[in-house]
Amino acid sequence: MDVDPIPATPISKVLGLIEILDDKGGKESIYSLGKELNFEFGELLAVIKAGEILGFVETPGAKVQMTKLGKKLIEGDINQRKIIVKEQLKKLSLFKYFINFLKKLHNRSIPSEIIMEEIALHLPNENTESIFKTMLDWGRYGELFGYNSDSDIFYLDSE
Amino acid sequence: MGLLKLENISKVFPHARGFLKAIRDINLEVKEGEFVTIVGPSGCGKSTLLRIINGLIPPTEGRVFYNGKEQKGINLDCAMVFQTFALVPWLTVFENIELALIPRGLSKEERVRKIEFYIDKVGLEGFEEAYPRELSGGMKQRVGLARALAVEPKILLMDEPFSSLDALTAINLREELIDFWNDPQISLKTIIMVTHIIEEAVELGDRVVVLSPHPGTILDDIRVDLPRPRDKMQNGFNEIVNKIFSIIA
Repeated sequence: MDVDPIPATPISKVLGLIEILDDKGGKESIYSLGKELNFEFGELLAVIKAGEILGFVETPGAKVQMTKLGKKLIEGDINQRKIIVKEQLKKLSLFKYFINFLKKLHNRSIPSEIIMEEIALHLPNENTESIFKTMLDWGRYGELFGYNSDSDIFYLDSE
Repeated sequence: MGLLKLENISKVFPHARGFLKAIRDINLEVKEGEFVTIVGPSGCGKSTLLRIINGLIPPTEGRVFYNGKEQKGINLDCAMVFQTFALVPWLTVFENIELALIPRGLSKEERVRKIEFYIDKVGLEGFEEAYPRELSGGMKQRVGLARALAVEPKILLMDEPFSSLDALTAINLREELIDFWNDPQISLKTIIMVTHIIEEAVELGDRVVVLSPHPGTILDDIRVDLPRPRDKMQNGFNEIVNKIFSIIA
């Protein structure tokens, strides 16, 4: 199964991007956003790309534009937002892969080291730790994945 | 009388070259249900003022009244959210929130019920067993907020709560803070927040109290009647920001 990487950016920043686009009537130039937010361009692009793969923004030309789903996300309360994020995560190949991987295991859990190995195997050009950290941040927000660092166990929270 | 009244509050700290007057003659009244923002440049004594309100430090002069009675010592009806999150690194999200509830004498069951409720409210479900080192800045501050809300304070004191966060995370949390404030299931009604960012003060506050530097004194107390949610594009927003800027400058 082909697994695609995800941009290393916390979910809070993606939510912030949608909030600011909403304040601006739904779209803004990428360059203006960068200046206004005082963000390094590469970092802003990672947040925008994260928003795009999650289906909350589109990027026609040099603009970033909120989608209908992005609007629905921002109009929902915290728990509605988490449900929308969860549904979108389930469509991403990286999450699909690990959901299936964990489902096949006893207790749907495994030491994080194995997850890291799987990431390294499927995404050899990426920073494994950074992908793991981001996948965990998004996965925890969507209540899809959990991790107990005392036992070092990564698990499927719910589907 | 309002919920909180500060009467001629001054605070002097000992200093290598004598004494440093942090704030002088602060008179302020806050009504129940108000969201008051206090804005001023660095060194104007904003954080000192919050700590006096909370009772963490006593004023050198003046008196604090809470619910019509003079307040001496720590006010247990206040809770604080800090700029640097102030989380205990070796405790999980759940345990960090529980830490604030243990001194309140609640049973374990009652603590768990409250923690689960506020974890759900601030969007931390899924992060319960995470340690602070595993969290982004935004999630850390959600823990700080959940911990403060869990004690069900009458007044929430916020000391530059979004200053350590990047702009996008701060935007998201500011919007959510207003949602918590308006949430009928959350008993919190009164918020006092200090910030050095004028736009933030105008976006959030019913009133913006403007402090001068060295020592901090009240220069103005401006009512913000703009409808919420507020943003910079809104009519009248920039006029208030410019007015405050000219007062401070």
